[in-house]
Amino acid sequence: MHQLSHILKYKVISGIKLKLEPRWNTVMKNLASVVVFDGFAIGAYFFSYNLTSYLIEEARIGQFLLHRFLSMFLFVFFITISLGNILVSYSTLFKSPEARFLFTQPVSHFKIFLIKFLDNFFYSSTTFFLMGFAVIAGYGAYFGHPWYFYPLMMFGVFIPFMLLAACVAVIVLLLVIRFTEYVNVKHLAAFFVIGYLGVVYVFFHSVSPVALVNNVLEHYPDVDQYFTGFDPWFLKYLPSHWLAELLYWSVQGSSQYVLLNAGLLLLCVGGIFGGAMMVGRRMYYQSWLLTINKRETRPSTKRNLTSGIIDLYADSIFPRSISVLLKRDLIRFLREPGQWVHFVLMLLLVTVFLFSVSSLEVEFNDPFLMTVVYLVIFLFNAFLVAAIALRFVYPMMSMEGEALWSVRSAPLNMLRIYLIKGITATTILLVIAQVLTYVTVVSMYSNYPLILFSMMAQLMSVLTIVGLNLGLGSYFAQYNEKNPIRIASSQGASLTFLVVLLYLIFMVSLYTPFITGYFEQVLIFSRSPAGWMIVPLLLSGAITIMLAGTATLLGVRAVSRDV
Amino acid sequence: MIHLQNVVKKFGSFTAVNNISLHVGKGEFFGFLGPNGAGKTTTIKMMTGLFSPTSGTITIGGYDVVKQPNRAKSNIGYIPDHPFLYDKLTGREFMAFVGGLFNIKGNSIKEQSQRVIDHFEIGEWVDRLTEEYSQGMRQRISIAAALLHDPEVIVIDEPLIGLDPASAKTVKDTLKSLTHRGVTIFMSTHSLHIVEELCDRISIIKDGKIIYYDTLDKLDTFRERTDGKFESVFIELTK
Repeated sequence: MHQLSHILKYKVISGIKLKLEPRWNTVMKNLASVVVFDGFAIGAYFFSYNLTSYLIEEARIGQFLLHRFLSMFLFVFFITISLGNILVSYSTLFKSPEARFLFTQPVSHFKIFLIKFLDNFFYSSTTFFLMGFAVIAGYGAYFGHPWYFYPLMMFGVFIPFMLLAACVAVIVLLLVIRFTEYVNVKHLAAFFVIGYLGVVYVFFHSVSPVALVNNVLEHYPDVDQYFTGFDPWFLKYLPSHWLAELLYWSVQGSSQYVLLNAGLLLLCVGGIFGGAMMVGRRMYYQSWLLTINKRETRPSTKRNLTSGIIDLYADSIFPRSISVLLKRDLIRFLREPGQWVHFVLMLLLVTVFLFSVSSLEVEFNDPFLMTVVYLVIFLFNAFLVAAIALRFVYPMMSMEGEALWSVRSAPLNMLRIYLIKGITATTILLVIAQVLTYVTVVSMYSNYPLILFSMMAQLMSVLTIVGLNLGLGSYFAQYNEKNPIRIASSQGASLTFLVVLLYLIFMVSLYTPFITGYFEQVLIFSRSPAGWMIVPLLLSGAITIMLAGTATLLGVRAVSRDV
Repeated sequence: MIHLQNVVKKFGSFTAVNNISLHVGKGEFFGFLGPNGAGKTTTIKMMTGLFSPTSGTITIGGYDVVKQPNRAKSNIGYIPDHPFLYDKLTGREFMAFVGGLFNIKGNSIKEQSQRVIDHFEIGEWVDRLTEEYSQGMRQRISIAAALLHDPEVIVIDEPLIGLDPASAKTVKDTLKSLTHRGVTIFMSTHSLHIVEELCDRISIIKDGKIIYYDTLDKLDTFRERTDGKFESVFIELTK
């Protein structure tokens, strides 16, 4: 125990010293983090408060449905956290130099596992803690819960719930690695991915949100009853459901059921945490050796210089210094399964979204309702682009890695490298964004002014999103981190994503009166004018120049600084 | 060929390099020595464009590294102390990449690469991904890549780290033969026997300041005060 606290003490000291480093970009990162995270937490608070208020008072869905929606959200949240933890904990537990160092010291394997597990949990969950607290505060404030509700919910329920997801993730990860001794790792990984997707599919197929809403609303206005008969049988075994039930009964004032669900959750967390520690104690070192062994004994294959457009010797339409940079990035992307598999998965997600949306019918006579639907789709399209940008554009400069010396010592302007990355990212994301916009808007609204506006608005969004991600990704570049997933989930990346979200929310509020005005013209006066779009697009362009320009200035200065 | 004039590099309030001036002529093999943290790597990084000097001027082949960085860097072949490479490229691809950055045409890179691959006898593993390489293999690839564009100046930071004796000999012979062809070598190292073996002139830096700058022969006055070995002289000077 003394040794464990000794190591943790030095980790904390090192972390604090890193945070308090008197360097301009560290200070700026910390200050900006405080401002943006606090701003976002306040936003999350009001969003949670107003959404609860809207669903209860305007939509009148009742408390049962509200908490069933919460249950569904918490289930997806649990799966997402769990999947994210698997990816991050692989790097933390098996690829970290710190773990490698500790294994050479007289420190037990279990202690190393525990240290790295906690490291991983706090590293990947800190943002969620803050946002979770803000959402709980907004929800609690609406229902007028007493002051002790908040710390109890946060520390007694929400953090344990997230810990549960992390424990499940680490158990799955250790089992996957252990079984790679017997089963091909790609097959095993595919099995677990399909397993996770299957669980989500079965969940929503069984819970059937639409049927649930119809069933409950049949009893309108008595929608606050406890319609437990509509729940599928397995729901009562899910921790996400216990958490939602706990919230439901806390609103109903039944402390007996609150304690029952809290007890179930904490017992489950305790059990699974114990299980994770047991699995860690028994399997971590063996799994660690196995990954090392796999890496060292991997059959060494000679690779001929790739042919076709990625042949590094071949001349192209670009100057050689540019074409080798482009080809190098493409080769590295294609040879890193973590990169292209993620990209393919994200494109699949985009495709599924496109199919789902293209079959929707949105013919309302209310201009405001039409505006809401249009802006929700616009926001979702932009959100997909933002997610892809965070994962692939933000780490672009960091991915130059410690081999940056080879580029910096060459007769090449760093601004050119920056622009190459920016143009590549913008081109790819622009194609994705325009396909998304075209399919969703054309399939739902067949009027050209709106299609044109949507495409122009998405162009501005893409330019801003790429500008922010590349600029701030360069400013906060971590050249010594090889894992792009860790880079994309770092403090700087979270900050960038929050800035992008704030930007998108601002854009939606900017567009709202113009779009509403347009739908009024279409629905009330049967006209389809085009002139209305000039002002919002000009404003949008100005915001793009301001945000993307500032981020680019920061980024360009950052890539030219001492390395 | 290399001129450093009153060069200063500060990191906040800490002065890493304090007003140093050096001149290295064409075809000269110049040794740059000093204890750990003396400012050797900082100086080299300023010469190769990885750091910008706080004040002073550095010119390579007549070009100022701050004002005409691309011209200056075109003349340099840089070999860092830690030869990090791109894990997912092979050694041959890395060379093709670096050659491309120096705007060498595809066919020329192919020929030049093959020439250095044969010279350093790395053909057996040059087509494997660099993530499989040992430190010595990485070092040999970075040396090979630095020679591709026939630089007039080679700046090399600890050239023989991780190299086996045979490879070390090849590297030493190569560098020496390059000076005979008029290439200037600026080498930072802790290996004093290599300095004695190869260098025409040396400079010793301590706490960011040059404390010795001349030929090895001129150290004789210091040798008399010690047991005569260069190692003892170096320790005495840098105390």
